[in-house]
Amino acid sequence: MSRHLLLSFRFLAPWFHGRGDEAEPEWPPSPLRAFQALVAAAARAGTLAEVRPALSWIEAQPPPLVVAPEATVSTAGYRLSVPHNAMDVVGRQWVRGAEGNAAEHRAMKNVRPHRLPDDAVVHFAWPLVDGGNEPAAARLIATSRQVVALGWGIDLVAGDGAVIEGGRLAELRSSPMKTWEPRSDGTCLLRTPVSGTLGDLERRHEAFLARTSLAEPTLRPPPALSAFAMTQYGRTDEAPRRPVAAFTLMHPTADRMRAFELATRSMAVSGMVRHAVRLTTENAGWSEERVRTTVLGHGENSAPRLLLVPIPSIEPRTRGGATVTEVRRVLVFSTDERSPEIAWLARALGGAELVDEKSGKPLAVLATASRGDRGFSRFLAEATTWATVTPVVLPGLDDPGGIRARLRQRPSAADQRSLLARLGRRREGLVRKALRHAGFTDELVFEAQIEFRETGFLAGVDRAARFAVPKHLTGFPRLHVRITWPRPVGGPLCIGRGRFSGLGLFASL
Amino acid sequence: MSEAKFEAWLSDSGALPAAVVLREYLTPVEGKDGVFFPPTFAAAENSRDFPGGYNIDTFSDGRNVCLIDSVGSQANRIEPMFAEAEYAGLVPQIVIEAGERRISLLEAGHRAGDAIVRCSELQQQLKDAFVALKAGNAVPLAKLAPTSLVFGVWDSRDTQAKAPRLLAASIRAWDVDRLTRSAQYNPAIEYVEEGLLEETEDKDALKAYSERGFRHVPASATHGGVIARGDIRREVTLQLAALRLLRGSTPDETKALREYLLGLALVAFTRPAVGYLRQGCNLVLDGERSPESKLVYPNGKRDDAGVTHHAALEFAKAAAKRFGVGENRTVKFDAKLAKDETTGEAKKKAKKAKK
Repeated sequence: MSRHLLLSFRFLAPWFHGRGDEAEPEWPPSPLRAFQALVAAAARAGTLAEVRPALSWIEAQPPPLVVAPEATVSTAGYRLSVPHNAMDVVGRQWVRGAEGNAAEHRAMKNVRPHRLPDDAVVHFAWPLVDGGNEPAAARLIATSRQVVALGWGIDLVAGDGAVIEGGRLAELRSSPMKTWEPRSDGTCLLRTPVSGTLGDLERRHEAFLARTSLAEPTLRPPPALSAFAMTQYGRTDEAPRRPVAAFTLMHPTADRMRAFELATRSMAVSGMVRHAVRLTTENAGWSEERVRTTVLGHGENSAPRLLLVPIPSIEPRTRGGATVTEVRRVLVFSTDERSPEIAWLARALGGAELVDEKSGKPLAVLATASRGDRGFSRFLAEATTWATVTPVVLPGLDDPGGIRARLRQRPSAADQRSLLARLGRRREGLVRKALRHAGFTDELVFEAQIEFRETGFLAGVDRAARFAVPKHLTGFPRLHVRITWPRPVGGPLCIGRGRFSGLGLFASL
Repeated sequence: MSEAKFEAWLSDSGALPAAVVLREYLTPVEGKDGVFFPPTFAAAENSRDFPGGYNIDTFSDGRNVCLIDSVGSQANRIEPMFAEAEYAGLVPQIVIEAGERRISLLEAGHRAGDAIVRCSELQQQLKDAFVALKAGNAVPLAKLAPTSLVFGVWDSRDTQAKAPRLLAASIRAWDVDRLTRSAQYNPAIEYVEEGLLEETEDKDALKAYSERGFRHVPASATHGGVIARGDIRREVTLQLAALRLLRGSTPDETKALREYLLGLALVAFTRPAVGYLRQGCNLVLDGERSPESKLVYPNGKRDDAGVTHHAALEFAKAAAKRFGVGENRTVKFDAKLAKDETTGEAKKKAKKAKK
């Protein structure tokens, strides 16, 4: 039976003001924040020396599970005007008989808390392997009860701890609580302590105490904490995010991005990427069969295949809205949602040249990027509504019965409506077929509300007919599509024939 | 609630409560559907991030919550109560004289760490008190500025000693309807028509006329207050775990210190800091709904606390007597100890301008 050290912090008011990196509101609270609260509690209680071995033990443990309720970040936020501690300046003015205005010595402080449910509690659970360290656990439990705040000083908490069995942990994790676990595809980056964090905190504290004084007023800001890890966390109730290899297209001889026109050149970009992937995988010793099926797509339909997808920029406009522009990035991912090859490709393809087939000259270089790069956000988001930036090539003929020919014969209005409806149903059926081919579940295929047309649903997207497609797909109809689901679906989203080259690519709305 | 029960919250062992929480239900003096005015906040340069105005958060289920008084603002309202006749004997009354001005330490923004008092005759005593606090002895600071330990303090200009707040309160209103209002300023007479001012088309002159009240000025769709369809709640938390971290130099001193600070905190906790918050915002207790106070334990258990202001005050007086309240002092601000109001940069600019 598994056992865990559980440290819990119950918020006494339903607000959390803590911020993560780049001063963004943080939720759940990071394990580093909990560690710092324990250190502060021990220091304030005068027991740091006794608790040190326990703190050193826990900082060296793997990152814990975080169990917490959902929280909502404030939509509005507000700014507080807080006084600088400079009333001595005003006092001098008063002593001289001058006016002296305290209001001139204020700073603005941004506040954007998370709203929590009433009586919200956050649990941090570390597995106790091979019995763990019972004395350390006991010390930490006692210290957790001395923790005063988690987050800002106004985020008062009641701390507690216990060693619990796996069954109890399962109870704590049940709805409505959510669990965040360390995961390589997690998108929630949280700071976690490592060996050396305690020492770094103590050094920072010493530097903080020496930052300034009345005797020596020069301000010496303490150095930022550096001994910690950024751990990727993912929610256990969310489907694992498909791994992707993300790249920016750079000019081969200048330090700037390389852009390609979306409608006419994205197929060429995909082709060049495929060539680069082929070379890289062959050089890495992939078998001919594996390259043929996985990279080139020749072979069994069930074998995993790579999708090599040129990504256009979506740029905001000054009057609101956004417009789709040129291809400046590439995503590589697999039909196998758990493919271990993608992480390797992200490293191996960095620096690869994209060579023009005709001239043999390099037109761009792949620079490894982060999936968190803003340029990918609309393609990797979770959203209920998606619209194509490249048209979907339907997996079949939409008019085998010659409906268009009959429409050209100018039928009656009623016949026209009937024929158009049949054409529409046929097309909708093909889009659903494309979703099925792309691996969507029957439920999601059935629930999709589908709209389609020749022109794009996003500003800047060309008519479907204008897009270059491989020769073998020219006979198939292509349309722009907008799909709405009743609940969010995660990207990347690419469907239809030619999806392995970036046709049928959707952006979230 | 007996004195013994309060004291039981302070020992170092047993099943001790982590905090006491209080929820009070408020209503505008105009009545439950009365219009009242929340604070307005400044907008940021990027108004999409911080639009300013009222702070009203809307949730996905359509509910909203409006901030009426922040934690800092509530603390600034509560702390000066200890200068009132009924409570003044519980804490030392420290007043700083700077020129013709007199500032009570209870009103200083940074409390015992405020530069106005750190640059006074009390500088060394306060420095010694903060140094003692860092070393784990809060008694010297409690003798000088006990409310700094209740509401939190940071000696940011000198020793960097910090004590977290024991008490946090805020007021929020639920499910508010935001109102706007318009107004028109009309001058007492028509200055131009009466020949008292020149008629002009010059924009700068017209602006000057408006600024001085000589022209009609409309103000439309400005903030017009809110009506709360849900509760208006004041939530107060007294952090007992934080109080139990404060110590003296002996066990007896520690006991006396903690009881003294608990008494002050309970008095502040139980006296409603409501009434006139700002123009157009006068909130009182809702007579139809009793306040709820609970003891919160580390494991989440909640018991009725049953704390009354009368019991808190009696406890506080007895505890203050046992601890020994510090002496009242009026001290002079020492300009020689203060920072020059012109910074190095400003001095350079002034010198350059002279050339």
